[in-house]
Amino acid sequence: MFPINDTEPSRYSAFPIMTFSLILINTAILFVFPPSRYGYYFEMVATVPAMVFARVSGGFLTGLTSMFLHGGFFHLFGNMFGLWVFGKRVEDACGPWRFLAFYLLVGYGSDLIYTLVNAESNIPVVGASGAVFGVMGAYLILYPKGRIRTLVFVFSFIPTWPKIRAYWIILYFLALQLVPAINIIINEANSQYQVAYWGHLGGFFASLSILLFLRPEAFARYWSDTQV
Amino acid sequence: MDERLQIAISKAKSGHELGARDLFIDIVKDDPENKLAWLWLIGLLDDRKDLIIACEEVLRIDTGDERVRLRLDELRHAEGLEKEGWESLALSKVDLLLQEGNKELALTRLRKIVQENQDADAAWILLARHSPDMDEQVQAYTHIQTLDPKNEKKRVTLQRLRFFQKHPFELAASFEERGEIDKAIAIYEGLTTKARGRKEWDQIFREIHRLEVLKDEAIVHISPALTIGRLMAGPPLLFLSMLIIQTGFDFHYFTILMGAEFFLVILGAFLTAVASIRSEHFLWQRLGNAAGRGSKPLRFLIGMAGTMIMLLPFALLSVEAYARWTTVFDYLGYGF
Repeated sequence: MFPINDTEPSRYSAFPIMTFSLILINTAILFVFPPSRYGYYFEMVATVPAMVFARVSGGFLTGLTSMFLHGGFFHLFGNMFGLWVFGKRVEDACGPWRFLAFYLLVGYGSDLIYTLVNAESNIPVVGASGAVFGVMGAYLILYPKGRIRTLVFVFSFIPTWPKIRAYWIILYFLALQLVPAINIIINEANSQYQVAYWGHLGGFFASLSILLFLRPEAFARYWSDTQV
Repeated sequence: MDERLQIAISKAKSGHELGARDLFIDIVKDDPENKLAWLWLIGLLDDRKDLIIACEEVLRIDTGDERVRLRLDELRHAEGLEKEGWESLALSKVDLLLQEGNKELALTRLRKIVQENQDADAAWILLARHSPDMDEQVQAYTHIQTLDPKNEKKRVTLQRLRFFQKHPFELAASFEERGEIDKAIAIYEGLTTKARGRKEWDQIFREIHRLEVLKDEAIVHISPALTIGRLMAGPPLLFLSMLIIQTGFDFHYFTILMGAEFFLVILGAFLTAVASIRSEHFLWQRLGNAAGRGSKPLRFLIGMAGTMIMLLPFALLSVEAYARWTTVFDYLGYGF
């Protein structure tokens, strides 16, 4: 299942300038400062939980730097595609500057939760996926019934692209994170995985709490069942 | 004795009361100081208001006439009772009309009551509460305050109304912030007829359009208390999480400076939250705003001060984190 496009139109803004800018910045950083050039600096700019607990490195600043770095083109592509699909209408709902603040905050929140869960990990973590999951969390709250054009392979090889309700897609992606995330907690098996599952879940849960501060009426609207 | 007076008295004695009354009226018109004519009139008049006037005239000429004074007191008492009876009956009818939702007719009756009796405080209060017209509300509250000058609550309400009378846009915004979109639209619609120029008319039209969209979306009203709460809680929580990261999740490394910074963030967040509240709030009333609504310059000042106070600890913590950044090389043993 791969979300391709949000089929619902934006209501307030003609173009999601901040979403586009974030994609542009992330892409530019990958090309200007590719992983092959990280060298010694990789541990400096990536989040390493063990270092946070040892009070070395840039503390919360690495949470911000790691958010804009990616391990390779496909890593970047997956995250930025997700940001484009779900970020457009979230930005439409709250405006570009609030969206930027929200994006940075959920990225930071995801980093915080990942660090807490994997306290002893020495593995450096980079990527915007925590923030993108945060944006997905916001989308779920604001537009639970939004329809997303999604690429689905029936029987793993027949491609179809139906419109699927946003909550199904987001819950599907959440479910994908849950099994490894539980395994990491129970068996302390963080080193088994190449993906920061707790970063993703952290971003999602951070978004719910941050959105409560930024847009309480969104929650009120959600529970009052008013169609957005 | 005046010849006309003698004729009038003999007419009255012979039972020609109407003719006698007309003559007495002519006499007091020509000679208002004629006490005897006034006294005869008291006996001949049948309208209570006229009787009261006649008694007052006699007492004006001769203040020591106790019989006339007693008669005047009786008349006034009877008038008061009648007025009260009529008023209470009229007010109960008004209540009934208001319960039925017939506001227009209720207001018309109320206006009649206060026209008849300027001291009808119950009617003035109802008029102040239900009248859609701000000028009428101000007039009603002015009367209420005149009747009860010690009522502080009414004084504040009157002050607030006078402010809104001068600044109707503020009143519409106030209704909007309280979630009363229909009332806000009604005020803007009323303002269209008073618009000064095309620019103001366009602004009013935009506001009406915006509110109609808001109304269609049924956006839930968020109270100022909740707004202050959420805006106050967010930045301190963020700062606390940064402190936790900075101290490596170990509070032994929590310093007094960090505590002071945290306090500043709370203070700054509070000021910023208060500045973001446009609607009526007791804090603004304490700061001397007549309507209890934050004025733009004051809100800007408080907001700027709050932001500066709040950003300072974030900047200090960032500098500290940045200065510590290169320790990563020592930790990894790269030995730069």
